[in-house]
Parts: sequence; C-alpha cells; structure tokens
Amino acid sequence: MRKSGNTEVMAASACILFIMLSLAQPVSAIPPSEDPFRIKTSTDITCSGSVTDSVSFDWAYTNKNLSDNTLTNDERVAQIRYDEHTSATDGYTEFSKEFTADGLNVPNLHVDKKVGFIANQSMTGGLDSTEDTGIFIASAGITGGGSGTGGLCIWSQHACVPPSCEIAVAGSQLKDVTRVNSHTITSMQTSESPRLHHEITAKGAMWGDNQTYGAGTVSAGMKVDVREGNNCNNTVHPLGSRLRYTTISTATGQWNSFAKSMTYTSAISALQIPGQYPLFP
Amino acid sequence: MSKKIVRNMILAGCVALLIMMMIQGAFAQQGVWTVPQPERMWAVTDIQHIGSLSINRDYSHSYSADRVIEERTHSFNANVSAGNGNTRIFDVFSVAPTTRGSQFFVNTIIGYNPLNMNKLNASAPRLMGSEGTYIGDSYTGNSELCAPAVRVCGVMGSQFDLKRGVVHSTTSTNTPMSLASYDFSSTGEGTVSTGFTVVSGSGDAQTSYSQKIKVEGEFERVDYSASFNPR
Repeated sequence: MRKSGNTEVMAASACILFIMLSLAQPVSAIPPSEDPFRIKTSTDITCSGSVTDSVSFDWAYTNKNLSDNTLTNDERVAQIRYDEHTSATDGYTEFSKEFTADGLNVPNLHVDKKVGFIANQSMTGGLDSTEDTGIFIASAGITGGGSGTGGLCIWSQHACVPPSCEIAVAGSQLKDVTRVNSHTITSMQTSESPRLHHEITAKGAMWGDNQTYGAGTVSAGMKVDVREGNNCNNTVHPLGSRLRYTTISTATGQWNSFAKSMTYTSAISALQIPGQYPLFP
Repeated sequence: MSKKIVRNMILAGCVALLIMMMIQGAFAQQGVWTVPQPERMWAVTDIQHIGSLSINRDYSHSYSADRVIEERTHSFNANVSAGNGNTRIFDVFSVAPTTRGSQFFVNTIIGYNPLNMNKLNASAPRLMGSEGTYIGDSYTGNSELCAPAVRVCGVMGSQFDLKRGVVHSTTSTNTPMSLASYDFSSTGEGTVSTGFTVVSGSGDAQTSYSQKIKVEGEFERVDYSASFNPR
C-alpha cells in the first residue's frame, strides 16, 4: 500500500515536472508571417438535453492587394467559406467534429462531422443541422508569362491564361429530425488544383441492437457556376465558356438511408510551367 | 491516505514550479530587452471547501518591441451560492517572459458536488462562473525582409452553471505570431458554453474562424479543443 502510494506520487511528480519543463524550454523567435495559418478544433459531446454548435470560417487571399477591392492585371483572388449550425433540443445527442483549416497544405479545409440524435418521447424534441461550404476564385488571367527559372521555359513566356470566375457551393441539411445517425465529410482547396467535396450519409439511429429508420427531412446539394474568357486582352473580355450545374436531393418522412457525394474539380488551365520538383514532396 | 497523496502531489507541483523558475532564469537572455517585458509570475491555487465560495482573477499585459505588440487579457470567476455543497478547485496560472514576448499558461479544474441534490428545487445552490482569454498580436512589418504587417486577434473561454459536475480548461499561448491553444472539458448537469474566435489579417489575406458551443441538461462528456498557429 505504501509502495503504491509512493509510486503514484512519483508518477504525478514526473508528470507535473514534464509539463513544467515543457513550459520552461526557451522559445526561438518565430518570424511573423501573414499566411499560411493552421486552425484545428475538435468537438466531442454526449448529452441528454440540448446541444448547439455553430461554426463560421472565412479565408480570402490574393496574389496582389486584397483591400483595394479591385481585380488588377494578373491578379487572382480566392475565398473558402464554411458555415455550420447544429441545434438539438430535448433528446439524446452524440456529436463529434474535427475541423482543420490549413493555409499551407491541401486540402486547405477538411471537416469530418458525426451527429447521432434520438428525440425524447415528448413532442418538443428535434434536430436541425446545416452545413454550407463554398469556394470562389476570380482570376484576371495571366498575360505576363511565368516567373522564376521555370518561367523562362520558352512556352511559358508570354503565355496566355484567360480570365475566369469559379463559384462552387455545396452543403447538406437535417431539419426537424427526431432520429438520425449522420456523417458528413467536407474537403476544399484553392491553393493547389481547386476542388470542393461534400458528402453526407444519414440513416436511422441504433435502438439497442436494431437499426431504426431516420425520421424528418434530409437534404443535400451543390451548385456550380464557372465562366472563362477566350483571350488575354486586358480591356475586352469576351466570354469563352460558361458551365452551370445544380443538384438538390431531399427526403422527408422515414428513410432507411440517405447518401449523396458531390465533388467539383477545377479544369481551368494553369500556366504551363514545368512542375516536376520536388519528386518526393 | 488519499489526503496524504494529494498533499504530496501539491508539494511535488511546487517543487516542479521552483525547478521551472530556475530553468527559466538560466535561459533568460539578460540585456536583450530595451523596453519593459512581461513580468514572470505564477500562482497555484488548491481549495477544497464546503459552503459558499467566490473566486476572481483578472490579468492583462501589453508589451511592444522589435515591431511586435503582444496583448494578453485573462479573467476567471467562480461562485458557489450558500449551501453545504463540496467545491474543489485546482488552478495553475503562469506568465513567463521569453526572448520575444511571453508564454502564458492557465490550467483550471473546478468541481462541485451538492451532496444532497434536489432536482426539483430551482433555487438549489449551483456553481457558476466563466473564464476567458484574449490574445492580440500585431507585427508592423519589415520591408527589408519583405515581411508584411500582420494582425491576429483571438478570444477563447467558457461559461458554466452547474447543479453538479466538473469543468476543466487549459489555455496556452506562446510568443507573438505562434501557437495558441485552448482545451475545455466538462461533465455533469446544468449548462456549459465554450468557444473560440480568431481573426487575422494582412495586406493580401483575411482569415476568420468562430465556433460557439452550448450544452444544456445532463452531459457525460463535453470535450473541446482548439488551436491556431499563424506559422
């Protein structure tokens, strides 16, 4: 008993000492940088009662000046937005969410969210949960050719990449739901090969060993609007192509399963600069 | 036996803090500072109590040097209304100067057991309180290094109103423009809210993130962690 007590004290001391030593390490000065950044949050809730969770994320950046509110020659502006709101009242809720936003590595945003909900026997219980995601890219085109050593490639000099605008939004919604077990995955990137992906899988919650039907309304959809010019004239911008796509699926009542996966990948051409380095990124 | 272990743990913690202070002193770069720097300070609170209780703490510092401004503001308060409930608080607060700005660290665990809980009594004694930290960093830029001006503001914290349960929060910030993290966890019955908001901006980028969580009822687990790193 005595030995056990000493062991606990030693373990606790070692733990506290480790924490304090970690704090005591001298910190090298980290050069301030405007970007990239990294935001990481983790949420895990189990509750009988009510739960609300809301998230709003907005990242906008440019290769020129963001605050001048104009698109100058050779300027490209990108924006990633993510909004989520969940409200569960009078029921049993299991909620978990992993959120990562990264200005350096792709995907620039990744969210993995799981919600399980069973309303109480009272008529007042219900779950509403909405996720909205979107990417916006506006490019004035590239007329000046590439930069750096790669830009010296003869086919990159004076290359023309026409102006373009890309808007892609996607999301999903659970409304007035009394039983559900849902899982959504969101992934977006604009710093490399622009891409947006959102998927949802929703089914009934487990009741003992039995899988029940989901009850309520579940929706998911995506809208895409892409326009691209056909030359690199800085003053006249004839439209070369336009793409529009809309899809929304909704199920109301009792559903055995609901799954929808949506992906947009940009095909706007990039400047043809040899990009083989590094071989092992 | 358990009281002895707790007493030994507190003693071990104090020894560890002393060692930390000595090591900080060994690594401190004397003479670097040309302006006042954040003072080194720490406090350990350990209270086990029956009855009403009130705790408050407010802290702030603002430091500027080498084109960097660092602001830290922190507040914590907890109250237990009259009654025969059992309250336990363990809290560590420390601020340590570094070669640039400071390291800020707060770890608070607070638990409340009403002993004779009457669920139907709305005016039964409760544990109520809040804690919050504001970080504000700005860098005025350096044209020679082609480093643009950057501004980062962040707020993190929680509120709690518990009939019974435990709240645990840890806030840690490092030198300006580096990692800041926040962890919150709770279990019990009542209402807890937590969240994290950060806004950063420079000439060519704007980033904002905000999350708010509120849990009411009987909860066996509320775990939340957030970190922001301008890198």
